[in-house]
Amino acid sequence: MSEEKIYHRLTPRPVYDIGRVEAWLEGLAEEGLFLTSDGFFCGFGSFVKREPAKVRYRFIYSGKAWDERPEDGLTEIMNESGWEFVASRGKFDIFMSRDENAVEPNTDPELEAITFKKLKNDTYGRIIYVIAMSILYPFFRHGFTPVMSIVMLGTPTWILLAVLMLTFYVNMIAEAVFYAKAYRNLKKGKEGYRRYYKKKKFDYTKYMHFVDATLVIVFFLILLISWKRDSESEVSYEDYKGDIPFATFDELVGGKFTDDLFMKVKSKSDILAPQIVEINSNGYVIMPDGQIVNFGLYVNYIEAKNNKIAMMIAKEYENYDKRRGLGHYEKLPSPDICADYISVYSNVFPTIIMVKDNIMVRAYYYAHSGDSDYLSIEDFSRAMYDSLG
Amino acid sequence: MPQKSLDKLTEPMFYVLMAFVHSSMCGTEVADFVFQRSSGEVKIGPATLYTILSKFEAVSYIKEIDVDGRKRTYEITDRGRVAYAEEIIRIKRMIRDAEKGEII
Repeated sequence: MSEEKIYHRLTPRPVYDIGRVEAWLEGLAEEGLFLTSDGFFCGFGSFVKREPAKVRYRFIYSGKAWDERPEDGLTEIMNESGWEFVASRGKFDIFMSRDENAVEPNTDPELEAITFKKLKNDTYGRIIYVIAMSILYPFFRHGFTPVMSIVMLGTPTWILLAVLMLTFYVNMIAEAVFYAKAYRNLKKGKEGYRRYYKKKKFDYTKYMHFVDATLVIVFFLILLISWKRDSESEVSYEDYKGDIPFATFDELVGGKFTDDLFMKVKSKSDILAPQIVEINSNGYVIMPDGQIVNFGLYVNYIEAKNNKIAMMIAKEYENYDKRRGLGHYEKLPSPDICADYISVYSNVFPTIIMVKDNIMVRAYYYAHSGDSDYLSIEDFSRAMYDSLG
Repeated sequence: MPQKSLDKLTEPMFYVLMAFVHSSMCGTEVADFVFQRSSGEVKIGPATLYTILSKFEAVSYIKEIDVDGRKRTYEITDRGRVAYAEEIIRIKRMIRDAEKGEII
């Protein structure tokens, strides 16, 4: 037996405007396309061909989980009143009636208003949760670091992410407003959400699915490419071809590293920061006097587009360290260096943040020999400052 | 434990309780009863009826007494009778108050 041919049609947007979707389904039924039990998936509805007919579709809120069928009690009452269950979409069950005399499923606007109040409150709850997770949580966890995040993520990726997030927020707010309006109308005894939808030859709202999908795909592609580039940009010191534009272990301690030196260099560039270099190094250094010094150095070097951006990144980094330090942060006296900005603090390790012209450097280190510190923060700051171009 | 009683009954809710005061019945019998008793003025849609039955069960105004396949029969409880009586008093009071003034 051959399987019945399934036709797919893009659903109109927005998806929460159930009156619009009902009218669209009724229009398709008049053309002979009837929704199947598969319902909707990825913006498409699946249909089978039948004799064209004038039918009514109604979305009935059930509040059940996504993939559950409607409760037997509801199906029984609906069937006996001339409505058959077709498919589910989210928290709604879709019923269809071919009987033009069948009573409308919802006849009490006050009761229906309660449903829309619940939908409205659920959507507001979702908005609060999403804002808390995407804005407030990162803010409280890391502080307000917009420029730093833009530079680290890459300006194009960040802009695309911002556009996606904004679209997401606007859609959710529009959804809540739609439910609130339906609730108010129903409370007044008016038709809550079902309007007269004029059939259009070209319904651009359907193609918004493609716009959304393209934005998401492009975003993940850019993210993947930048992750790949990021991981490939980290190389060992020996393999690194470029110049390191700041002092490293040899200028700072002057000794010779033993063979177990670990040193990785990462470099990238961004529209706001043409040169970004990070190094992460640690190992044991044999000093000319034979002393063995345990040395570690981590540096973020950002050559920004201008001094203003460098200053902003410096302050955001310090704020970030303060929050991340969880009580270890302790401000130290700044050495007398003629930098545009300098801040010295202890955050488990001695750390400096300085800005010279359009260059921002954040660096922390340790250098121990036995129980004593080998390199003072003053000497470290001065050597680092002098090494900047 | 049943939920708190409903503050107010809407028109369809009142008619549904009226149906159960009359006798025990299933959902569609309730809809037919209401239609006939109101001389066709009040039609209760199946989704509305299902919501009302669920709410009434939750506040113990009615209870399920029989399940025959997918057909469920309910009967009114004492709590439901009290709610119905209180609603009648409320409606009578409103009419009495209205009659004290101008009748359009």
